[in-house]
Amino acid sequence: MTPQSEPDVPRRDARRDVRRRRFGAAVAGPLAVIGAAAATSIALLVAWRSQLPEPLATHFDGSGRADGFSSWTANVVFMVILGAALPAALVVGASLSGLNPGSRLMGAVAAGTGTLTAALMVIATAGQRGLTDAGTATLPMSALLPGLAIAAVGAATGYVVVPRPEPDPGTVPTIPLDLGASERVVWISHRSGPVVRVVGGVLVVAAVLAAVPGRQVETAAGLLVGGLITLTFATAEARVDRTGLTVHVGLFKRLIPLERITTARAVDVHPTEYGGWGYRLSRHGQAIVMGAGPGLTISRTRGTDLTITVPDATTGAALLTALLQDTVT
Amino acid sequence: MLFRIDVSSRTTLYDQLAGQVRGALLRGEIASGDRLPSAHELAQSLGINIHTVLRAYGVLRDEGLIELRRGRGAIVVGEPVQGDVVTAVHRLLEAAQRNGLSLAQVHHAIDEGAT
Repeated sequence: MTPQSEPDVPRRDARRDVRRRRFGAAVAGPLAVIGAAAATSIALLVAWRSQLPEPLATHFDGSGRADGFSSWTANVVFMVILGAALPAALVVGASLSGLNPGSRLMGAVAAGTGTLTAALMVIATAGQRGLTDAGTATLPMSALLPGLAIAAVGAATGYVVVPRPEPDPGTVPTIPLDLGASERVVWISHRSGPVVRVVGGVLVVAAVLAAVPGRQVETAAGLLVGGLITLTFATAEARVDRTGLTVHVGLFKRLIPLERITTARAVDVHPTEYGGWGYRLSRHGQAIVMGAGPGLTISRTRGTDLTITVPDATTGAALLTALLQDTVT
Repeated sequence: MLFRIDVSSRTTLYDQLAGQVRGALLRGEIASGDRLPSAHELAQSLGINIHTVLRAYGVLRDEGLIELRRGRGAIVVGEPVQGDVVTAVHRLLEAAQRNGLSLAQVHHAIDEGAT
């Protein structure tokens, strides 16, 4: 008969504060680089506006001749969306689970992408100053090299401004469940990704839209396949019982027998460490990643480790460890 | 969610299973809208008769904790015990411990208070 102690409330607040600080640390630097690059390129576009032809040349063929045009306004909008909003969304989305071993690389990718877009925008536009007809604009491939160099600097900056995450505290040893001789136990846990359903649904709708009025069959087929594959990742389920670990994602269902499993442990999954979302391969082996959070990881007699992100992974690992011990004795 | 039964216990298997679901709901491990495993899956994993699982689900449905829908399976519809009741329970247990009362005496006090 143990009364619940009050200190749970301050502990929860402290954890929330730590998560906020770590999120800030992961995004502040890269966002600053993205912002600076975007602001610089937009400032130059504004300053040069009166000297630029309207519309501007925005695409060039292999030999450097202009073959695609859009308005000055469209260019600025493009810059904001592709050069700033998208990389910013990328680094923010990847940092929601806080500072983690993949954060520095993510910072580099986001900052590098934003800087590259900004630099190429400036380079492509600079050569059109003083022109009245954008059709005469040229942009040789060699002109892109300074842009790549600037992007490399942007990426490197985005890398170093993200603090090094705390070293992995190491795996906490799994405490096996205490199984009685006459006990039967099964652990079932699942995780759904509502974003996956939305994205999959959008793709399927897009497929219908492509097929029906425009009769673009190839595009529709591609979108449909992509949408259906995405939808199958809507829910991931893990089940542990005396037969082993069963992993179930959409139409894909696989039992890893107890005899093939050597260890089981609960881990804290950051998608950036495992290579993203969905079915991933990384230095951690195979993983089914629905999002950041708890995951159950097993090591096998043959093949790589396997991880699946489901809630209450600690209990699943505890049960699996107990079942493994029972087979040894 | 963990389903744990003891085949040597005096409590019937279906009562044990129903109790597991009630406990999980109380602890917040499952919530309204969650889907329970199919009777077939659960029976197979636990190595028991499917009718035992179906009986447990029937008990929970009669209590209004779950709904059985064709095609969707067993869905949790119940709510855990209200938060302020849980808080009051903890306060009561704290007070009992301070005064050196046993659990039986606490039950007696509740019965007295209810009359």
